[in-house]
Order: sequence, then structure tokens, then C-alpha cells
Amino acid sequence: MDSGIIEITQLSKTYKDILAVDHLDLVIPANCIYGFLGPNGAGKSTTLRMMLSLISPDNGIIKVFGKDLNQHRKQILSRIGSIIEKPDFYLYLTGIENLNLLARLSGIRPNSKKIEELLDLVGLSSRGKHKVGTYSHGMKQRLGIAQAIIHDPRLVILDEPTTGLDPSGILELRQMILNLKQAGKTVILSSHILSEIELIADHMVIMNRGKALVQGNVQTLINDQELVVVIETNNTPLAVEKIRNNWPVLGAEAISPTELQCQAPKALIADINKFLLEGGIDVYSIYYKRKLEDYFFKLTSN
Amino acid sequence: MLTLIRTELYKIARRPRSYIGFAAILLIVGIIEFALYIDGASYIDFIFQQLEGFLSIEGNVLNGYLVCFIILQTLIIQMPLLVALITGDLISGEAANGTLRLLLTRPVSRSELVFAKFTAGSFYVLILLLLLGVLSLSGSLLLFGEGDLIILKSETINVLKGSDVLWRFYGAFVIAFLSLSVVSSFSLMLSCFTDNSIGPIIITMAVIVIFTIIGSFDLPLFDHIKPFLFTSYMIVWRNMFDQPIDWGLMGTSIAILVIHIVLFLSISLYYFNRKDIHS
Repeated sequence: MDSGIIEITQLSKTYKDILAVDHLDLVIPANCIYGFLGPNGAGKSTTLRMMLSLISPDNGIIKVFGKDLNQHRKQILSRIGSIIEKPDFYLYLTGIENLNLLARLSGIRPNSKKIEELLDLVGLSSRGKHKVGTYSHGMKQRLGIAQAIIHDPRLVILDEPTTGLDPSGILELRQMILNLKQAGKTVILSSHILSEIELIADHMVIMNRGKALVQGNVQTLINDQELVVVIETNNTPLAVEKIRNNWPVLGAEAISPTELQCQAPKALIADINKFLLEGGIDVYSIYYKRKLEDYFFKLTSN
Repeated sequence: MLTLIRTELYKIARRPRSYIGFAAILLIVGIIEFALYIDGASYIDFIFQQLEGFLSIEGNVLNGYLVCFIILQTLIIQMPLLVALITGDLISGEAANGTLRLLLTRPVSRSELVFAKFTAGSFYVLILLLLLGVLSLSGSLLLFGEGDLIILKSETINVLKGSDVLWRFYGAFVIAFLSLSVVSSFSLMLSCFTDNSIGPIIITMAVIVIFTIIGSFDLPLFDHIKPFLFTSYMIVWRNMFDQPIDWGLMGTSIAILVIHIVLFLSISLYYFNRKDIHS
């Protein structure tokens, strides 16, 4: 294995008799957006918490920046920013006061100009002097991003950062994450939203029952899979019959009264469309189903 | 470590709950001083009524020293409760609010955090006691003037010359600080065990009330238990007003209080350093 910004070897954690993380081996490359995927209870959050030493592993080694987390905890944490689960703050303090306090704890002298810039970056400049108790969930999430990067960390760990954000908030957050990558940081992103990972992650791991099912480059992993095409028509049973007769290998089947799906290479899609139209069937839409979604369910359903 | 202590003090100072203790002391001391100022003479007459025929008392009996002593006696139960209200919440409150994650993902060690919280809690106790001292001692001396201090105990009467009293109060406040530090370390320890913000406060209060009740009963069964209750040593400040002071007993009691602080802090450190943070 190549050395990465994080190297995890044989990591295990058991809660009573439940094996949350099972001899996990993981290498996270530097300067990328790394997606953590898996169903609930897959062991993602436990792994992320162990990377931040919030949870002690039963076995295994976590190396961050080439150093053992157990032995160089403080040094390593000074270069990591994170949001774990949900962004919680001291509600009786203002946004600026929270950032000041957390900057000090991160070992840096708070600089009011930098804090203003950060608040501006996350779109909270007008609310910085208000108590966090008055913030909405989305605003706390933004402040969470600000606190995670206030000390200019090399590695940013974001556990479900889009939870509770509205669509425009998700869009802004996505841009922020891409900006972090452009600034040379490594971002670890755990998300339930598969399209999120598909859109912005370079590498990913899919976990289930505490194990890494696959890990690697997102596009390489997805492109190895067959493409699933969904076609919306005015006469789905007839369309299915016609495709089955002409291309039996595509495995066409109806998935709803108006939709069918089949596995087809890109080059064949125009031919299928033409064939259906010539057969008197109106085609309303043709699209690829979420590739990562299929891949994810295929892996985790077992 | 200094940064951590400073941030802990800052958080205590900014929490509205921290001021309940100050308000309570202000109120209780104010009420007692006002009541004694208005109706103190009849209160003193009533207390010394039982000694008529045995003792002849002249001069300013209801003086600042006696009022201060009465206030300290009254507040012996309330002060630990006020302290627990803050220290019982120091770690569990952060866990309940989710801010413990924020702290522990920063480059600070867990041991440092426990020490910083204990130090900040102790500083809070010190400020509470200073307020109590200023209000009860200086306030009472201003209102009632100086005089000899007469203390009725169950079997004896201690009469202390006015010039021999002040240093005893200083000593009593130092012992009270140690006693309240036992309470703060105890509630901090409980605070490490749970992610529930209220639990450690309630348990600390319950333990102090139960231990104090057991300690106040003169039953042979309880006599065997009393040496194992830390509250038995928290009232040793009263012995500062004995004539002569039993320094042996004082030393032993102070040592036991310190041992309790060390014990509770050690358990806190041991547990908290191994605790998985799920909150």
C-alpha cells in the first residue's frame, strides 16, 4: 500500500458484544476529498471518532501525518479540524466568542481580522455578534465549518456535514469543501447522500458491518460497473417486449407503469431511442440511474 | 494548561447559572444581617435565657464576630449545594451539550482538561467564599461592631476575646475552602461518569444531605459510619473557635479532606482518560 495522510492498520472496536469496526485497513491519500460511505451502523462514525481519539480502539494502529496517533495525539490534533455528528457550541456565547475560544484551544492567538474573514466565508458576518443560541441549524453548521478551519489545519474531517442544510446550503458547503481541497487540504467527508460523494469525492471507502468493502478512486470504482439506463415511455410493456426481442442481453424490465430499465453501454442509447420511436412508442426521457447508488446497494445488500 | 484554565474560567463567568450562588449568598447574608439588626437583641436574650443564674454577661454580645459565626453555621449546608450546581456540570454538561467533542478534538490532553476544570471550579469556590467572607465578616463588623465572641457548644461555652478572633475566622475560611473543594472534586468525579447534565448535581446534593443527616444523629450505629463520611470533616472549621484548639484533630481532618480531594481527582482522571466520547 502507498503511504497516505492517514494509515489505519487492523483497527477494531467492540461495544459489549457488537463488533463496530472489524480489523479495518485503510489508506487515505493526501490532498483529496475522501468519501466515507456506509449504511447506519457500518462503523463510519466510530472510525472517524477513533481518528480523532474520541474513542479508544481495542486493537490496531492509526497513523496520521506518518505519526502514531496514540503517541503524538496533541501534535496531530493541532493539524486537524473537524465536525463530528452535529455542530454544537456554547449557546450562551456569540459566534465570535466561540471561535475565539476554540482558536485559543487550538493553540493559535485569535485574530479578529481572521475571524471576520472566516465568518464572511461561511456567510455569518452579520450574525457573528449574536449568541449561538439564536442560530438556526444551518447557521450552526456554517459556524462548524469556520471552527474546523480556524487554525488552518492540513486535514479536515466532516461527519455528515450536510445534515439539516437546505439545498442552497448544501450547494454552498460543497463549494467550500472544493475550496478546501484547492487550498491543499485533505477533506474526509462522511455522508449519507451518495450523490454528494459521487460529485465531489476523489477517493472513497464503502463500509459495512465494520469492514471496508471497497476503497479507491471513485470514478475507477464506478466505471468498473455496468451502466443502468432508465427509459420513460407511454407504453412500457410494449417497449420492454420490443427491447427484449431485439437486445435480449440488456435485461430490460419494467420498474414502474411508465419506466423500464436495462443495462446498456452509452453507444447503444441513441439506437434504442430510435428503435422505440420507429416502433410507435413515445419516449419521454432517458437517463442513467445514480451509478454510485447502485454500486453502494449492490455492495451493502450482501 | 494556562490557556485551558483561562477558557474554563471564561465559560464559568459567562454562564448565567454561575451567578445563582452569588445571588443566594447575597440574599441569605443580607436577610440574616437585616433580621439580627432589627431583632437581634431578643434573639440573643432567648439564647442566653437558659444560662441565667450561671453566667453574667455584659457588653456587646451581638457583635460582628457572633453574627459572622451564625451566618457560617447557617450556610454550612447551602454552600456545598451552590458549589455542586457549577462543578457537577463541568464535564457532564459539556457532554450533554455536545461541546465535549469540540474540546477533545483540540490539542489538549484529557488530564489537562480535568485539572483545568477542577482549578476553575476551585477558583469559583474561592470567589464564593471571598464574597461570603466580605459580606458576613466585614459587613457584620460594620453593622454590629467588634466585641468578644461567645459560642455556646453542647457541653461548653467558649468565650474568645475580640482581639483573638479574626485569625480564627481566616483559618475557618481556609478550612471551608478545603471542604468545598472536596465537594467540587466529588461532583467533578460524578460529572466524568455520565453525559447527563443534572445527574451529578442531584447526586452530590443528595449525598451531602444524607451524610449530614447521618452525621448530626448521635446514634451508636451512626458513630461507626461517621469516620467514613467526608462531611464529618467538613465541619471542622468550627474547631477553629475552640479554646484551646485541638491541632491534632485539625491536622487529621485537614489531611483527610486533602486525601478525599486527591482520591476523587485520581478516579476522575483514571475514568475520563479511558472514556469513549459518544456524546
